[in-house]
Amino acid sequence: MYDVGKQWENGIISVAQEHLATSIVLRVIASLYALFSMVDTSKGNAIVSACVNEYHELGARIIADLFELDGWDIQYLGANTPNEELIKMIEQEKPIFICISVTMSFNIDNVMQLIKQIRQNSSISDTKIMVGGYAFSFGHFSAEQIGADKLTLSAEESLQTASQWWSEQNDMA
Amino acid sequence: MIWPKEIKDPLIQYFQNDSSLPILVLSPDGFIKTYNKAFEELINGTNDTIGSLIDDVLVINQRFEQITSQQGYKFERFLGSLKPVYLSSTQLHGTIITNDHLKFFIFDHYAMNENKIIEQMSQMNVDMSTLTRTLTKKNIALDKANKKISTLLNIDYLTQIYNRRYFIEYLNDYIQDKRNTNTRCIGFISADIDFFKKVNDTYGHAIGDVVLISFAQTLQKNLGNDGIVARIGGEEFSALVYSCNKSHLISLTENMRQEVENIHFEQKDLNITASFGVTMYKTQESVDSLLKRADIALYKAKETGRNRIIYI
Repeated sequence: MYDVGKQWENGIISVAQEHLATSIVLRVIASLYALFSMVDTSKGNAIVSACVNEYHELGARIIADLFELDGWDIQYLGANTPNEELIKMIEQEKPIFICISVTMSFNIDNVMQLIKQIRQNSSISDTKIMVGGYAFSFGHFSAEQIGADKLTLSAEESLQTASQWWSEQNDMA
Repeated sequence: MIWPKEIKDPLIQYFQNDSSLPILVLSPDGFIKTYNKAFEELINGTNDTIGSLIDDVLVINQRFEQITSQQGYKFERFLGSLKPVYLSSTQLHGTIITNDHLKFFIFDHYAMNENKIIEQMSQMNVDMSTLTRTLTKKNIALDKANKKISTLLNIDYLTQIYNRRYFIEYLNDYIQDKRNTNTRCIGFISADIDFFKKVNDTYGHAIGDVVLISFAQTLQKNLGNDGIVARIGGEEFSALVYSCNKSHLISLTENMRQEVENIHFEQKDLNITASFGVTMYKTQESVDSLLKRADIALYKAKETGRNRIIYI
């Protein structure tokens, strides 16, 4: 997909063709959803979404599906989720954690703003927050700077972090 | 400007803003002077083409016969496509109308350009995959709910073995399936805990429940996968044995009887026994007739002193 992005940058393919490539990958992934039935939901619920103004959702989808296959019950909200909608969903669903994907660096401010809103809302302020995505891959930010509990750069790290949160929560209970 | 920003003429306003026909207006020597909104959409609004030569925007592949009207307008049909810079190979046709001062390119109505088609296809793909994800999750939840309903419907809550409803339905289906084959290898057991009412009255229902669970487990363990066992009601149980002969059936039931006899409920220093009526299915007979014979056998076991097996 990085190559596809480069080809768009170089004017070899159009935006539409780039979107088509993404959508084809999503359809291929969708053909694997039958695997979900083979997994018992052994962990809690969580929300995965791209942040507001973030239209790249492939990474978020893949991580949502991997969580699902790891036993989580994932509510997947997709691209460009407005903060208000996400916060409302957190209030309703009370997830064990939320995972926000950011691809474009100019959206980092948006995710920081979202986290600030969550932390200021007393009913959901202690929700565990994981952030990740291409925008963070240059190493310019730490989880603390963003306001998140964890900044992950790989699927494996994301799954491990979530599992750890799950055990911590159950140990406390 | 041919179509200045403040256009008063509603007809021109319509062509400029509302018409879905893309229109280009050129000078006689082929420079683009202006175009309407529909054309802007066609080229995705990405490039400012005003002032460009038409040849930089459009490749005309074919021109058709020219007609000249009495008023001096020339009408010419054409077939062409946009230059690759617009990242589209949409085939376009339309009419070129020329007079002494201007040249109009009026493209035939088109639903959407290639990029728009691809965008729509992409969006459909994304929507479909999201929908597939949601539906798969809902289907799994539905499956789980169905299994739960089926358990509630078919399993005896206390002993966790099949209940009467399921057993009778299963027995009917099984016998129906085997009825016409010349088989004498289906066994049937009716079992009843001896003096169970006394256990309940003496030790209370909690102990009564423990006895029932223990009894059910003993029958189930001895039968294994060779048949199914169910709680028919109260302290009465039945078992269907898939494939057996008389001696195997009797020895299986004897094992059950002995094991039940040996269960010791330490809490209350209690032992129990049970009586068993045993029979084999007779080819072509009805389920009722089988059940009746097993009942008679069980009744005889009770009548003749309990804690025994009677085969009829």
